[in-house]
Parts: sequence; C-alpha cells; structure tokens
Amino acid sequence: MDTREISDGQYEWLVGEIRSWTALGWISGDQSTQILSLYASPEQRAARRSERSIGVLMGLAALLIGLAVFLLVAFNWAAMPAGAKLAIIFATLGGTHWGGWFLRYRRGNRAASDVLFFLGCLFYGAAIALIAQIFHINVRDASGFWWWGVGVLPFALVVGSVPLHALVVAILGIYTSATAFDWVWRPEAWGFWRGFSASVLSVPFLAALGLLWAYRRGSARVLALYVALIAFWVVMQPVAWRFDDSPVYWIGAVGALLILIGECHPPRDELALPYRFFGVALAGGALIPLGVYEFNQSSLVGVPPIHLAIEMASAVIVGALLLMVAADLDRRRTGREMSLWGAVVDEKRRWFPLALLVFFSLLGLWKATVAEPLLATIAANAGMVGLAFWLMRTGLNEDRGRPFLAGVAYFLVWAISRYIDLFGDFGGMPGAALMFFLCGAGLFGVARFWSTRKVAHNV
Amino acid sequence: MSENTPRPVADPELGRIPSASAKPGAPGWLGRREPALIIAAAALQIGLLAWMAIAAWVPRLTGQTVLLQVEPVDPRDLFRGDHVILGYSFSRVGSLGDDAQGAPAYVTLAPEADGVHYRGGLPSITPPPPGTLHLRGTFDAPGRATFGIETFYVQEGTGHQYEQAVRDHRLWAEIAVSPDGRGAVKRLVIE
Repeated sequence: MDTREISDGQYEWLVGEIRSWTALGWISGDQSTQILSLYASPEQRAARRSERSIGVLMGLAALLIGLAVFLLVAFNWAAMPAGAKLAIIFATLGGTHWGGWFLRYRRGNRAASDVLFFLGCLFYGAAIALIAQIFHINVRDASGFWWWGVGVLPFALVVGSVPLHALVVAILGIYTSATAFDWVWRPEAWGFWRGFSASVLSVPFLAALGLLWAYRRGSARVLALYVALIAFWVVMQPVAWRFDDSPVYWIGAVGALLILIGECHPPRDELALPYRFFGVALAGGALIPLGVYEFNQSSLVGVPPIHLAIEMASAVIVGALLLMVAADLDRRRTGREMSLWGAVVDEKRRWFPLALLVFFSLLGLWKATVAEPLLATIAANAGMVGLAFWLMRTGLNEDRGRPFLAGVAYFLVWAISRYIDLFGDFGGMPGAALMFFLCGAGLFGVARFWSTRKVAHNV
Repeated sequence: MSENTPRPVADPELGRIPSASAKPGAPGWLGRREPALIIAAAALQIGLLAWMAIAAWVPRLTGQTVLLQVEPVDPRDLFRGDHVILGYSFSRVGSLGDDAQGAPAYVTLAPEADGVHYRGGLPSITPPPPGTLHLRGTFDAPGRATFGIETFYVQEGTGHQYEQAVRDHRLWAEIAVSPDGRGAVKRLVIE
C-alpha cells in the first residue's frame, strides 16, 4: 500500500501521541500499528529521497545523452549512406525501448526503466529530425513536433512518469506557438491528417488525454502541466484566428475562467490548485498593464468591437455553463433538495471568479466601444486590489500560507506600480508617503483580522 | 468548535484532500495491460518513423527525375546551420496566392530542349490533366507556394560551394517527381 508522506517531526509527534493514546487505552496495539502504517517512517522517507535523487541524476544523464544525439544529428554526417543511418535510427530506438521494458519487467527496476523510456522518447524526436535530413524534408513545416508529441503521449500515459508528461507538454507547447501564427482555416484544401494535426484542432484533444490521466491518478503535478498547456492554447486562439493581436482582455478572462474551474472542484481538493495558480497568474498578469493609464490610452489594444464581443461572450458562456454543471454535480454529491439556480447561488466561493470574468468582459467591451481610458484604469486598479484581497481571504479560509502570501505580494506589486506611474511624476514624495501609509494600514488591518479570526477559530 | 469536529491542521499538506476521482494504487485498465501497452507505444513510434521514411523514399524510387534551376532565396539567410533553403522561379506567385492561402498549388513541368532540364509554369489551384508531369504543393503564404522541395541538408561546414553556385545561377536541384505530384530532392548539381 502507498504510504502518505509527512515530515520527520510530524512522524515523531504522531508516534508520541499514539503511545499516549495506547497507554490511556483509547486504541489497541494493533490499531496503533495500523495507524502508523498509513504514514511513511523516517527510514522509508530517507530511502525514497535517495531513490528520487538517483532518479534525478539518471534523468539528467539521459537528457545529456539525448542532447549529444541531437547534436550528432545536427552534424549530418554525409559519409554515411542513408540506409545505414536508418538502420542505426531504428536499432537505437528499438534497443532503448527494449532495455526499458527489460529493466521494468525482468529486473523490476522501474526507476531505471523510466529513464530509458524517457531517453527513447528523446531518440524518437531525434529520429524524426534525422529522417527529415536524410530525405531533405522541408524544415519550415513544424509538423515534426506534432508527430513527436503524438508518439510520446502514449508512453506518458502508460509509463506515467512526470518527465515524460513534461516532455509531451513541452513539445505540444512549442508546436502550438510555432503554428498559431500561420494558421489558415481552409478545410476543403486539407487532407485528414494535415487538417487534424493543426494545433488549433488537435492539441486540446491530445491534452485532454493527459488531463484525464492526471484526474484518474490524482496527480496534481501532471495536471498542472496539462492545465498550463491548455491555458496557453486557449490564450493563443484569438491570435490563431486573426481576431486579436494583443488579447489582454481575453488573457484576463481565461485567467478568471481557470480560477472558476478551480472553485468548481470540491473544497480543499488539491487538484483545484493548478487551475487557481495559472488563473491567478493570467488574470493578475493581465491586470498589471491594464492598471496603467497610458496602456489604456494607447491604440495597441484597439481591436474591432465585434471581435472583442465574440471573445468576451464566449468566455461568459463557458463560465455560465461551468457554474451550472458544477452546481448540478454539487447537488448530486450532497443529495440536497434545491433548484439548480439555488445551487448556483449557494456556492459563494465561486462568486469572485465569476465577478472577475464579468469584470474582464465589461472592461474589454468598454475599450471596444467607449474607449475612455481613465475609468478603465481605475476599474483595473480596483480589480488588482480585489484579486489581492481575494487571495489573502482564500489563504485565511483554507489556512494555507501560499495564497495569502501571493495576495500580499500582489498587493505590494500594485502599490509599487502605482508609486512608479503616479507619484513618480506629479505626486512626489508626500503622495507616495500617503499611498504607502494607506497600504501599510490596509495590510495591518488584514493581519489584525486574521489574528482575531484565528483566536476565535481555535477556541 | 464541538468535540467531534477535528481541529484544523496547521500543515497545509495534511489538510489537503486528495481528489475523489483519484484512484492511486489501483492498477486499472492501463495498469493491467501495461507491458503490452508499452510494446504497442514503442511499435507506434517505430511505425510512424517507418511510414515517414517510406513515404519519403517511394517518390525517389518510382518518380521521374528532373533538373530544376535553383534561385537564391535570401542571400543573408541562405544557410541556417546545416541546411540550404532552395527557391524556384515558380514558387513566387505574386498576388495569386493572396486569396488561395492554404489551398493546393499545382505547377506543370515542361522540359527544355535538352530533355534533361525542366522549368515550371505558373502555379494554379486547378489540377493539371492526368499524365501531365507536375508538382503538387500549397499556397502557404501570401505571394509564395511551397512544394516540399525547398530544403537540402548538408554536412556541417560543407555548404559554401552551393552558396556560391546559387549566386552564380549554376545550381540545379535533381528532383524525383511521383505521378501524383509529390517531389523529393535527391541531390544538388553544380553546372
């Protein structure tokens, strides 16, 4: 059975407590053994750390060997005939995968076999490049990355190692960025594979397989990889469809959607964290330039109103659908008798991401129609402060330090940004002093509130 | 807080709840068939590579060989590491490609008087009559069509002779053309 990992200090505390409970007769000796067997002992943790260190070292070695093969490919030795090159390619690839299979099922060494499979998947990518060299296939076409990703994904799903999933995500991410800019919607001109392999169509399907795998295995790390890929793909869509060359409002709306997806998970579910992390990064990142008056004034973000309307409407529709599906799932999970609308309204933690989504949509539409920069700048600043306080509040509600610290850090980013672009020019030192005083007072208030709340919570 | 309610734990790692959908430790459908699936995944990679190699090799074996004159594409960017970018007169399509971007491009090849060298006509979106020697490509950018014969790889540090030859208009590409219009560069010829 897999054991849960806790720190050495926590394990010692648990052992002490269980001894006390056993001495008091609350639990039997067998029960204390069973409880302790749920957690990894310090010895088991040390062994796992050692195994991981060796794995990391072997992974680095595999990466370096893979890079060496790539450089050899790049040299393109002309003296070797094409047939010999092909024979070496297939022998190397087949031999590496056979070695991985042998180590896994004949020697029982999964860590070493994971390294060999990873190396084999690097060789596979090198083989695509080498065959392109042998037959002088055009380099302008990025489809080699697609075939590489398609070939590695089954390995990642079956072998399940994080480096293999990371390799798939990196390859498909490169492919998405390489193909998004010259994408043309021309289905009648494509064959099936060329049409399907376009990143606009195929990447979500491929990423969805990884996403399903991550949910099935409950792996937040692998989920984070695929959420990053899907978020990147979604952000690139206005560019790919020639809708919007600087999709700042869309990026913010996608961030809000990701936060909303995170909040659609059950409370404190660790699989919600990747959505929240990337959502906050996107929404928070989009608000930083939008909080600057000159940015809102510039024509850089000027896009046709109809395009922005379509972008924002699609984000709001997806958000509304998400809310309804999540509310329905909540009803089924809890067995509560209430209307769908009642279930939607009842889940208050989803209100903020929904408000953020509507906020970005309105901000985008405002830019496209009215285009008055001052109000948009003030609203974006209010959004920044709102996001910072939501992060702090989430950290307090869940007793987790990272969101709270992220909220404090974002609040400081907001304060410093405003100091630079406002008081640096015309407010001078007194203005900056007043603003920092207000910021400090605000944070002090939050700290006092947290302190009072913790005391009340622990009574 | 009631006595039955567990106190909130200080360590966030302990406080997190694994997803209800997670099935750690359970072998599952994938886990039960893992050895066979790994073999299938490796076979898929080898199969894709074999298909890629065969698809590139067949036109070389079965296609008609022609010589097409190569033009310099951009003298400042002729060599990008270890490959040569090859340009052809029929690759430049002017305003024709603007509306046709993404559509197939067909160019008919006509022999010169010596019967060895060939020249291409103006690319069209209409397929030529059956039996006509032609190249099939794509209008992949405004003003440009590509036919899969625009790249030639050379060993690192050996491309200077081709660079000079293309500037002197003495460089020809030996292309194998299959009946369905697929072209493949076999070698470069300096005349």
